[in-house]
Amino acid sequence: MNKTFLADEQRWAAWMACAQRGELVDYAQLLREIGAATETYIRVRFGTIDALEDCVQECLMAVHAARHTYDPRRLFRPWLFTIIRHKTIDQLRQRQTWLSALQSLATTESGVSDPDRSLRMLDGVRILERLSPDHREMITLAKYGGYTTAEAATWLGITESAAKARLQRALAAIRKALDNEGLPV
Amino acid sequence: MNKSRDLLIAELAAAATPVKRPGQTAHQLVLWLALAVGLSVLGVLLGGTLVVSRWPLPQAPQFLGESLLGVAAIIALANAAFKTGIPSPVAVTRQVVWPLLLLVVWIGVQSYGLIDPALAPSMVGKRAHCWLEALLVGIPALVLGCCAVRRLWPLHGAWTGALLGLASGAIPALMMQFICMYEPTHILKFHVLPGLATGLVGAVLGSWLLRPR
Repeated sequence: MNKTFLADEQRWAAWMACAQRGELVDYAQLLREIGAATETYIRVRFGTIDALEDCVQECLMAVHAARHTYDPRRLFRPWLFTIIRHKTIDQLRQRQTWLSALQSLATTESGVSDPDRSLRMLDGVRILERLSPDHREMITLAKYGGYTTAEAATWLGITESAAKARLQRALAAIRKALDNEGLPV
Repeated sequence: MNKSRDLLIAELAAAATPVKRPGQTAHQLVLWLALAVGLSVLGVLLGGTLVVSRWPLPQAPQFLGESLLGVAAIIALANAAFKTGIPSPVAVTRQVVWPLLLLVVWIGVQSYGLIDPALAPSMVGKRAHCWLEALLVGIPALVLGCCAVRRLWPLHGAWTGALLGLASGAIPALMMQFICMYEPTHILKFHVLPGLATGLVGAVLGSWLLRPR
């Protein structure tokens, strides 16, 4: 853990312990810092996503609702980022987010809508939705989020070789689905 | 920071109340185990008489071992179920591997009874609908467990439900060891199998009731 992480860890853990005792000022300060950290985290890990602020606020509400599950004897950051990760992926999975992302992706840089590109994106989303949760998560991280396999492995709490194997299986499942529908791979 | 986030933080901070036993599941686990055993005894009593036909255990060490292994599997399954209610970066498959292994060993030891029974097969205590009792008696405990874990923050509802279901189903299955007839094939078919079926019910119930919020 580097110095910044360690400092954040100690400060946030202490604030959360205070918040659990009902100290509101510390809790507000903690939420402010977590909000900023969540925003950076989502930008770095998922790129610029639609409704980023909504996603950050959903994460803050999730942390608030789950605050009774944090054990002050344990590390704070792994607990926090597990919640943020799940909440963000949930948000990304929601059809509305996907479709709005799709719309923005289907529009070319010059601002002109490209129907063929929209259709290809729709096919991609439909096939992605049919994958198992593990495969979908892996593809989302590696192909949409732009993570390296090592980063995705850390993210998912698995070994790098397991992540590579999962990615291969997910890509094979996509190829099979495209084949079955007679779509170009 | 934008105004709406500031406003949200102010609202959340104002709504924060002190937390009792933060991050602890031991208290809930013990309470649930006590209730689950109590409900199972009650269910079995409603289904007929409760005659303990195999006691004391020390006279049959293999039977004692089987029973203790069953108790250990139930505790491990329930403990893992409650632990999955706490957000953790550890993969859920890693969290469930040991409790499931213990359950497999317990069933394995009982299957070994087909070759070398722990006790002499006997019809003493035979119950008319033991399989139905083993299946149904665990359900109230499963529902209660799901409600208890729901108050935490489960992220893998189906796994949590399955673990709770297996623990809930294993309790009556283990009780039947003492109050129903002893014959290894009968035990596996009519006591253990319904207990495992409760695990499936738990997985379905968990994926619905314990969806991430």
